[in-house]
Amino acid sequence: MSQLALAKGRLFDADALRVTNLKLFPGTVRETTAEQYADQINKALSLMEVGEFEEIGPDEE
Amino acid sequence: MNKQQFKAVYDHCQTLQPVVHRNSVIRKIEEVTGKKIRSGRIPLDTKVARGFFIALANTEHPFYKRFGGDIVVLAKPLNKCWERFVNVKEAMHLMDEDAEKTDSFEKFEELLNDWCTLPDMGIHAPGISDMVAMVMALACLCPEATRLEFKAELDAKHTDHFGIAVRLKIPEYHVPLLFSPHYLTLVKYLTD
Repeated sequence: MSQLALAKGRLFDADALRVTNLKLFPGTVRETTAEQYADQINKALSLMEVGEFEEIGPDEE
Repeated sequence: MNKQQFKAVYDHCQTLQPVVHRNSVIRKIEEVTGKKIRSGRIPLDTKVARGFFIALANTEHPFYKRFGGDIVVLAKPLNKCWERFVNVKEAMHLMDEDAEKTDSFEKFEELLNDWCTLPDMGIHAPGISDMVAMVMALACLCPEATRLEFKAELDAKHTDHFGIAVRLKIPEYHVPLLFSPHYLTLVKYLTD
């Protein structure tokens, strides 16, 4: 299964997250594919599901 | 982008002194939008993405219950200047207008393809809003009075883009935009 196909179901299916907006800050390499972007988003969601989310504190600059 | 909301955020930031704290900007965005955003670090490949903003509607989903409906994900290896800038830029999307939102898979594909086809991106509304949010973040992290002081120092050759970046704690990469001929035109358009 492609990462884009995974993102499609995970982000937009009625019984999934039902994303209403998503925006991106690209990385350092310009020659990046849509599949690579989708891969990073999927990985981030998987990590968040297991609690990998170091919250920004209120006093951080 | 909702111009009225952004103007309120922009005006608030003009009262701040560098280093403008990210939370000073983000709390104001939350106040004007009536929404709450959570920002956090996650290990990401910064060659591909430095971060992203995601808004969810399925309030019954465990993910929503855990993180809420509006989330900024920041790549963990970012240095402080990049992290602040990405955080503020992504939080700007709380003020996106409906037409700018990536709210379907088709628009999601368009957005990714816009970023893949740099420098020709900006064809679709969500991609344009991604670029506009970078100017909005700059305008908030560098109050205009400070920008004019830095411009005078630059003109006098008393500082350079790196010197300004470290004083604002923003990426040096984005400093030239502050002094580009179109910068003030863009800010005026966004706050008019």
